[in-house]
Amino acid sequence: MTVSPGAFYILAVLIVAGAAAAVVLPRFRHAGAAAAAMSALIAVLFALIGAYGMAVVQFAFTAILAATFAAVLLRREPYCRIAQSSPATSATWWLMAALAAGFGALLVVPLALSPAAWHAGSSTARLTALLHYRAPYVLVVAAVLAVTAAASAFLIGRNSADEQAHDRASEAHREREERMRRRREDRAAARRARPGAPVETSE
Amino acid sequence: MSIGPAHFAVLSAIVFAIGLYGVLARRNALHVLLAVVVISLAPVIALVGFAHTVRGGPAPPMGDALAFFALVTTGAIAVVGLSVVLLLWRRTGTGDVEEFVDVEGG
Repeated sequence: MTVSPGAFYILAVLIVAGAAAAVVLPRFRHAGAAAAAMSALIAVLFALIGAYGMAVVQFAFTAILAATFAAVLLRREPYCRIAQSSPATSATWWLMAALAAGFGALLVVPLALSPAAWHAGSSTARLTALLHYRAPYVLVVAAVLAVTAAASAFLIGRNSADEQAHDRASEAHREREERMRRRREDRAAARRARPGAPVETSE
Repeated sequence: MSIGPAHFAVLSAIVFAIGLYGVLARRNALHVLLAVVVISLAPVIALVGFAHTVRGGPAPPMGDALAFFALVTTGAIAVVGLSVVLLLWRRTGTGDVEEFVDVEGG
């Protein structure tokens, strides 16, 4: 299936704008929404060129990833502060922008200057063909990869028992320090309030 | 004028360059992770575009198969990367990638 040039260019501009917003916006919530929108627009582009299977997979990928990030970062109190814990961009962002622009130009210019050099044959491709034709191994390997990644993420990201015990001990220590500080302050205030107490002078 | 593989290649290259800027310039680990996802989506655009605009390629479903695998890999990178960021946050109390260079194990 061929896509009309107008639709392609509109979608391409929106995808590039979404990608730029995802890496430029200072708030993670906005950047994440821009990335999700970009990913969904890529799925729309896939549907327009007839890659319906990949469009569905891309939509599912977007939804699952957005839900995972939202579930971890928005619902668990300590983790929602990660995004605010450091400056948004490096001090040398302009140098990095020049590097990325140079690398991008290195890729884009040869591709844009030689569109006639691409060979166009006579058959089409479908993801649905994978289900009954010659390449089920890709699906099996992808499923194994997904399961392994999920298990690894769970093992790496979870709070282990010794870590929980350490956190509880740290919290108890912090509370004890706080109580002792308050007690010292109360004693000092009581001494000052006592009649005949020496007047403290600040230098 | 029709849309061909070169258009998808250019779009993919632009998205890749934008993601590269994010990886290099951002300081927060979550933002860097988001930029890595943007980078990883760039080849998926090219692969699907090639598979559906270059006719007579080597094997009909292989373009989509590669793109599918690349997409699953992107998801795996994102999920494992997120768990590593959470682990580093619990260990260091910061999401600043410039401070992670001092993190020691043990």
